[in-house]
Amino acid sequence: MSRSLSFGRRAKNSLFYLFSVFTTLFALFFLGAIFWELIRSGFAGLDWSDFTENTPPPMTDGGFLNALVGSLIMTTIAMSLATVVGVLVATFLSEFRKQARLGSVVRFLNDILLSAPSIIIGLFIYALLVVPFGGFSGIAGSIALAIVALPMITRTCEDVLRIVPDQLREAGIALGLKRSTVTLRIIYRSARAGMVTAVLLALGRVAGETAPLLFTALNNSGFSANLFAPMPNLPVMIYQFAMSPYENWKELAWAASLLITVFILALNVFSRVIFRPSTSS
Amino acid sequence: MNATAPDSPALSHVSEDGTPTPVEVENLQFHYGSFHALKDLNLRFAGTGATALIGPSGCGKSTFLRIFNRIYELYPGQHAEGSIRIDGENVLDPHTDLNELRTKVGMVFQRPTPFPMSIFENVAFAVRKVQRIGKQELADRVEWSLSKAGLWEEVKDSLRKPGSALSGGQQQRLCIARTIALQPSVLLLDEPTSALDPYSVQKVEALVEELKNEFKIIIVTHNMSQARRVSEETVFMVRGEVVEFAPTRELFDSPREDRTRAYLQVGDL
Repeated sequence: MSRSLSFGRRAKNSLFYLFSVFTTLFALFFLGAIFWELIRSGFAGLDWSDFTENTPPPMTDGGFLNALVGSLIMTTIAMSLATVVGVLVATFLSEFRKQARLGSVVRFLNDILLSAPSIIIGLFIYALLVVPFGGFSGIAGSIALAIVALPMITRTCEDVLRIVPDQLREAGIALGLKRSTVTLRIIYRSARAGMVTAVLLALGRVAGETAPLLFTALNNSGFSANLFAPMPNLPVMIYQFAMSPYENWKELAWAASLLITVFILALNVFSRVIFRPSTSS
Repeated sequence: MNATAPDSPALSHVSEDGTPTPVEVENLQFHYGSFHALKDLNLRFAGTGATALIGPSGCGKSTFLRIFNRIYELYPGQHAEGSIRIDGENVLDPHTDLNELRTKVGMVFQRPTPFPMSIFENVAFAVRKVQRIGKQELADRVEWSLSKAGLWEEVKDSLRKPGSALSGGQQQRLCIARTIALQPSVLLLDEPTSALDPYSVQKVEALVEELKNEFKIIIVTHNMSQARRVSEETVFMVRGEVVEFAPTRELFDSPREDRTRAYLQVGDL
């Protein structure tokens, strides 16, 4: 009887094991397929001229220099804004715990923002900065992207700041140091790796965001570094070109997709490497 | 080792006639929210030497210690009343400059808390922030503090290494060094050896023996024999009240209170 029981258990175990392996492979298969297709079609379209020429009219050769530069500009502005504000909010949440009630309201709002669909953020900025100021603009796109990045940075930075033991704060305060000195020079330094990771992961998220840009920066077929005019960018370009019937546009869309994916992958790998616990913490 | 003591901080809480002023605790109450944690403490510690605070877990000895530098104010809902006079000044006075108070009343914690910086910076950081002194003087001060803390010989060739690279016992002595670098008049030690291995405990105890000649020391400890070894007077507390306060030898050898006797017997097991 005990023998049959253990047989039954082993059978069940094997069954579940096989099932988990199968579902894992199933999930990985699609990831692999996406990568494979991206690399196959992306490399075919990737070309040095992609980085030196602007987006072309249909059926002519060209690149996506303008979109790449526009994306870099908007992402840089967005990340600068979001990092400054996000780190400050995280600092408020983690270091000013005497304000517990306000803190929990802020945290709750931040979590809502974190799960808000990015298209809503795009629409919000459209209503706030595009309609009243008479048109799509790079600055509106930057702010929309910043709002996408902000709750991620806030959340993760708060978490890593909270991991810093209270005793370290007390030790600093007990030496007669000002609260600001303790936070800036001791707490931030302890949480440095985690905070950088937070920013990198948010950057990875923002780099491929399309919806917030559709209503804000829109796109621009020419080169434009003017923050107050529609600004070309990779995600919206991919969106428009991939759905077009023109072969050369589709190729450019593939190449740009590959570029963004590799960039995000590199960011994720890099942030994992730096967050590995080291002797510095 | 020949670091000159920059105006030896020795007992800066000395009255005009040359005798150290005692530390006076009057009508001290402490509340965690609605919990009355310390009930009307009245004590007068000698101005020199070491005073030990002992008692069962939760009796309020650490709470008591944390009032001396008002570190409890970091947390909401904690509240003290009454007075603690150091150098004749009431630390609980609302006009007290907290940063100044904390440079005068140093504290060392249960677990070593090296800052994420080099060994040198760990000691120099607060000194540079709090006092205006030159580069050379700062280097001298670091050497002096590390020597006092019995760590100089071990780290003098690796001052640029991170503080976290030291062993636990060394880290704790580093924390003591960085506290005395500010030349406080009172040194609060909150179970400074409870997270250390026996060898490091011995080193830190020897250090306390030596430092108490220069700084007034108040030490919270769970270790009876430690209290006995390092202190001149001992406070025995239970549930937020002082049961007995006496010269250490007297309290351990012939306690007046039954509760003290009972606790010492259990503690000695």
